[in-house]
Amino acid sequence: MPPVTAPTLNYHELVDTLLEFLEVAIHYVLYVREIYPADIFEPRRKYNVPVRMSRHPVLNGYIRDVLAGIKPDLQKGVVSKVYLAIHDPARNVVEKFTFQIRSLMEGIEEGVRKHAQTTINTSDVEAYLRSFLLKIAVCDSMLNPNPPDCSFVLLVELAGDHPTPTSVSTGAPWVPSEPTDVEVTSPSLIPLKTMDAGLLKMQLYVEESDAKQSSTG
Amino acid sequence: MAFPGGFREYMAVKRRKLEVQGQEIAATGSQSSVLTGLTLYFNGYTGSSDLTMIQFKELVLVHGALVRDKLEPDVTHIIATQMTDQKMRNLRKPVVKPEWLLDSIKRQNLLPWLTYRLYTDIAPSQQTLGGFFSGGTSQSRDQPSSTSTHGGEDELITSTKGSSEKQKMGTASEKPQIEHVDIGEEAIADEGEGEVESDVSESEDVRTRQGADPESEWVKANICTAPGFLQKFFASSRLHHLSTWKGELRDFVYRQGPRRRTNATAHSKRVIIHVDMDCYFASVALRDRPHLQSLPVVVAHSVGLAGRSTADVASCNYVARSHGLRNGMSLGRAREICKDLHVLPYEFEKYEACTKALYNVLLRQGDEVEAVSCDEAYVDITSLIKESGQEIQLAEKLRGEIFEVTGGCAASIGIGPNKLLARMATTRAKPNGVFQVKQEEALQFMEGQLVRELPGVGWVLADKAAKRNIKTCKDLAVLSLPRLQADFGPKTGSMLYNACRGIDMRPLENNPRQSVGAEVNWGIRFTTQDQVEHFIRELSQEINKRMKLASVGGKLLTVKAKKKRYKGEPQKFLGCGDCDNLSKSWNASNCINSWETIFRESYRLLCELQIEPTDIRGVGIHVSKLCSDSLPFPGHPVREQSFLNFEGAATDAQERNNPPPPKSDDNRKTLGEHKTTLSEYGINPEEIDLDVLKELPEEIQADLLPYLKARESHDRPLQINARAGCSSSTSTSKPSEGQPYDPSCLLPTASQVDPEVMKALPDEIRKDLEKAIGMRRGAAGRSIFGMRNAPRRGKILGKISPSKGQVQFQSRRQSITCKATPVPRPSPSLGGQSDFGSVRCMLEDWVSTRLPPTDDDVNAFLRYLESLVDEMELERLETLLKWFLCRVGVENSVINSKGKGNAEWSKVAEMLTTHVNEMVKKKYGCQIKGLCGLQR
Repeated sequence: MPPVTAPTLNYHELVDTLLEFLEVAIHYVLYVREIYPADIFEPRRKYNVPVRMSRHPVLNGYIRDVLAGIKPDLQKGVVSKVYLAIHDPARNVVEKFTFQIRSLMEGIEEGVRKHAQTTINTSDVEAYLRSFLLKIAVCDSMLNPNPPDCSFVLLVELAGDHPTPTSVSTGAPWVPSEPTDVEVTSPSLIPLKTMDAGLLKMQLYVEESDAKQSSTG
Repeated sequence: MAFPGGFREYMAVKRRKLEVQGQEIAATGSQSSVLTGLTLYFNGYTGSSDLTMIQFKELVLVHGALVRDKLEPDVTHIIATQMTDQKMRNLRKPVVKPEWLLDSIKRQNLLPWLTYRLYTDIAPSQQTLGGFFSGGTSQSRDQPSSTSTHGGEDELITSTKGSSEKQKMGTASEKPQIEHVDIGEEAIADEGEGEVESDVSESEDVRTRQGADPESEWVKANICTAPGFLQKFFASSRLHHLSTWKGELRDFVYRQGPRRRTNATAHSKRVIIHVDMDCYFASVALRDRPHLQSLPVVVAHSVGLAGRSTADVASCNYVARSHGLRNGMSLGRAREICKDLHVLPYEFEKYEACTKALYNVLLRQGDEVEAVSCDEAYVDITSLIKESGQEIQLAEKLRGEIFEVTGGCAASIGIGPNKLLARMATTRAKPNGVFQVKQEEALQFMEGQLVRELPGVGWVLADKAAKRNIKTCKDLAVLSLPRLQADFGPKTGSMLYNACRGIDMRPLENNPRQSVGAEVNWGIRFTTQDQVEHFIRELSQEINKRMKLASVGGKLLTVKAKKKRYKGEPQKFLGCGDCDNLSKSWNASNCINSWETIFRESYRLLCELQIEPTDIRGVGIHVSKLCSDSLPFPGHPVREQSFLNFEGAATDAQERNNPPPPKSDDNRKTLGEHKTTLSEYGINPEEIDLDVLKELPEEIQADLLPYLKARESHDRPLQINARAGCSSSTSTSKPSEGQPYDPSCLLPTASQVDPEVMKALPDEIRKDLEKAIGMRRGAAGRSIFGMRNAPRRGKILGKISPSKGQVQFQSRRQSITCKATPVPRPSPSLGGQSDFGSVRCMLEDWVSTRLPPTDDDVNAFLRYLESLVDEMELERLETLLKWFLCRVGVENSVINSKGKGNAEWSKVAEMLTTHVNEMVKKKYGCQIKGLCGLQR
């Protein structure tokens, strides 16, 4: 456990930080994996790491809506995974980035959740998230290139017995998803990074389809 | 950005343009190809020839050389007329005078650049201008050729025939920084260990052999890998003693508590004296050998009979100085300069006694004393001066007292209104005198001083000043403050500005010790990693010993290492030579106070520096950020008590929890010893960590059980009972851990058992528990949602992939709404260590024993890997396992007599890989990419 100097974040602050991070990370993955032309990404800096962020309003809106939609569930601690699945033109999943989240806040009253303290402070979180971003930056060296004209989809998996996500007034409604959107055929796994914040643990890993290599040549 | 492509592209374009220009010049006016193949870089002033820089460049261009505008990697030579030592060392390219080019062109023949080198420090193979740079790290060179005779017991007289040419020598700093044993300025010679060579010719023979053959027996017995090296090193290292004393003196003076303070109004009339013993070591030595009083005498390690000894002269008396000898000279050199030289050995105990006497006098007399070193101190005597004019009288009295208590060692005293002037006055006072600089004379006095004599001005700074034609303080005084600050940096600039005017506002102070550490830079010659490890282990123990002596702990661990930069051996015998200094530090969250911690972390840091064992020339470990609550007050009973207790508990707990094979024959404890009861270790039952307990062997667990029971029964309600009793209690962390040890307690309901914990339990216990709880396994339903661009078929699929391997209990958390905040689950730990670096160090220890692994250890490791899978630490798992496979692979390739052991390690590695792959597959639905068995 890193030494605690600054006051630790409470759970809701951590969730806010995570959502911010997820947005940056998603943009950056799209850039690194070349889902869109590099031109639509502009250089930015986050946690003192140079990253890329899309300038396309529709794409940005989609990502923002999804994350806004996750927020209430993340606060409740019922989100177990956030997927960024990359499809080839034939709609096979060739690659899937998984943000696996394990929160101890599932089923805890809101009042308690609000004030629950995590074990890390802002600078620790930033150090972690920085290493996530750096890992994303180098992950293409561990992955095979994607076939041209890929698309992506963001998916959320909930834990336990929560059948549907909390609906949010803003943004688009949730729709259930098909297994073909999620399942990677003959996958292999590349772990990227894990963050432990006490009440919440997050792991990022990539699953890559072995079929990809044969299809791209 | 003015240029479209940014700075980098701008530079690239510029470079290209200049190259083309250069080619054009070369093509149009080509005169010869004398300089073909050279790529030159001009650094500053090109010398007194009447060519401008541009003309010069054109000249070399037309003679076939290439010119670079910046110092690029392909530059072969740097042309300069002046360059500082430091810069030249950093550049690491031949720095040549412009005359080389001019002469080469004139003769139409490329002359050897070596003869035109700017300075000669870089290639030590050159003998020509040797001995010019001394002090610090470079070595002075001694010309061989001498004859010697032998006489006396510990005095050895030799007559040396050699020119008595005077050399510019740096006085070796006799005042190193706090606790800092500097580079190996001393050679531990034969006499150092009390084995005086009986025969001179033999001794000489030995030395000659050493020079020629680094594999000699003497070398083997004296380098760092030899047993007892450290003890010997610290016993005979002058700098080590000096620095230790300094630390002790400071602590000693500090402990005297606040001294009589002069009040602020009298500040302008402060009277500070600087007391400095005259050639301390030599005069202590002569005290007991009055017959040598009028002869040249030096104190050094070696007798240097062979005339090429590289041991340093630590101190020489004034007779010797009149011959041109200086402190810090090499002994061989000294012998050449001075015939009839008497070399005396160190007598550290005597110096120590002398120093104590000196400080007692000073502390009794002065208002405030600042310890500088064992023979030097500042004393504030303001309150003793009733009227001006008394100072000299008082100083003489003090000198008399010192002479008496030290048994005849002379001290010189400088008097001044501040530390600087007092210090400068001392140089005038020497030898054996008093000199006073009054405030009104200050300016005049300082004008005559050389800049390099100022305290705080070293070689680098003096060189820099000399380059600007500043030699004396008078030159300095005409410069404005901003000018000085621009040239030398803000701090140094203002220091110089004040110093040359005799202004010094620094108060006398004794900062208590800032760090504890040790550095060894002599005799470091490793061949294998194991030797490095062993050495670090010993050094860590030494540091721990010192920390205990000073009753401190620290939070910052710094490892320094010297990496050699030369080929072969340095000039100084077994010295460190010209090295890159590397360092790395680690911030501990708790006070570092066990040698195991020091060892583990420093070894890790050293490994991270990635130096080949054969390239290491010096190692130092320092602990700083000393824990404030244990400032050096060794007399304080309470503090000492608590410190020691803590120490014991920490150390022993760590030792007990070390799972790497206890069978190795070094100092690891064997299992048998673990049976000792807790109280003997000073462990409070409170402190027993259940996670740690789990990892311990059965017998120990059994031993610990009574304590646990006692603890649970009286200080808090039994965890399990509390859980079972009220259904609204917390649902996390370690509900079942206490259980196996107390079968009578009530079992929690299924909903309250954390499946992760269950999985982590040993198999038998888990089975029992599962039976008891009536637990049912079942995969939980998952629902996955997308937005907008997901196809809308509207069916939620219960099980999409087998990846969600978590065991879920039916009706889990359905009805529970907890009031309390859940406790985070413990991070995975191996042998009580959850810090990843520590785990790895531990495993490194384990693997490097090369003994066949025991089943217990393998199981513990496997359980740790399992918990990494469960705890979402796949990245660590991958890193660790790949490292392990690699390590085992490497061990395999080492040809070893214990071939059997290696095969077993491979088997273990294969087993672990298979098992981990299965686990990951079960939990995540696929295997980790590229994780397969041993790389063969």
